[in-house]
Amino acid sequence: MSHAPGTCVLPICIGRYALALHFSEAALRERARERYAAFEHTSENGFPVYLNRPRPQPQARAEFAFSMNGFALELQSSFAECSGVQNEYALDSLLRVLLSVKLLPEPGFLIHAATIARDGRSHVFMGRSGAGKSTVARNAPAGAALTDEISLVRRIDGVWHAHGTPFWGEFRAGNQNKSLPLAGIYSLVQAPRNCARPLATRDALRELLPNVLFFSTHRRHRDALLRVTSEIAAQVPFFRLEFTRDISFWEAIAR
Amino acid sequence: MSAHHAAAVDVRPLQNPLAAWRELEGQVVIMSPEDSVLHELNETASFIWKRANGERCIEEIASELSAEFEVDQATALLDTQALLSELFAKRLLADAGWTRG
Repeated sequence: MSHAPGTCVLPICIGRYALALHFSEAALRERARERYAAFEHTSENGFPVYLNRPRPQPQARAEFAFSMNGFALELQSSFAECSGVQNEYALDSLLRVLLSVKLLPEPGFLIHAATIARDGRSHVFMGRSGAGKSTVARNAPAGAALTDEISLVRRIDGVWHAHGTPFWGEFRAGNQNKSLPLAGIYSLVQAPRNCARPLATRDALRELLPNVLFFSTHRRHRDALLRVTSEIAAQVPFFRLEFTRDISFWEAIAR
Repeated sequence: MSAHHAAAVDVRPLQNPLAAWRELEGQVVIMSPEDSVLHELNETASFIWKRANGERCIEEIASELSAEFEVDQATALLDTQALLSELFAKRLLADAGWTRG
């Protein structure tokens, strides 16, 4: 694949979604390469993401645009343009925003959740800051935590899977590039005892939506999000997990 | 939007074009445009929502509700007005929809 002059490429793949990150600065590429080491990809044919490149000509009107703290993302149909990306943390934020849109038609989405592998399947524990995601990840057996902060959920060949992501929280030993079929999604609630209560489809959807990463104001993106989340709410077991912030909650899940 | 305006029977309510919605298990769920909060409607509310298309006035919607659910016109009108006022307060109806017809 040919590159624009003066650029270097880092191919990565997150949740089986391939991206080709085109850097203008080698130093930023190296920091990104270190950050996304577990997610480096072999092919450079992923969706192109251009970082901080000079604009040779006016761009077409973006399908979707997002800006925050001086950095910005413009999404076109065949590539994304990022500007003002000064460090890997800004890149991290823009990749989350980009994936939140690009995953919708797959279908898939990013969610504030820890994902734990157990018996060949994945368990997704969702909740906002302080809900207990890091506690769940910290108490998981070695190598079982795929992520402690942002999980990627995607349907592949008719089966919902949860994937590890490089978007970590407090528990930085996770972030594994693994994908496993979903066993269940749990809405975390701290309580004096452990109990997993099954949720009906509408209850599951109500619990799920506030935890999904979503930044678009476009109606078509909102329609897609509601469709995707409604589908998973109907197709995957959801539970409200009252838990005591220790490992004993697995017994409640097993019941 | 005030309750006074919502009471006008010739108002033609219109769904907020930014609000995503769909039917789930036979009833409408709506995602708020601003905060992605889910609003769930019961059977009669779903019936009213689907007719809030800017073409029917409140009185016409209430008449259809009365016929479908076999309630008297006065009760149907009150229920329709109350629901639409609530939806407007939650920004799920467009401002333009409350222009008097």
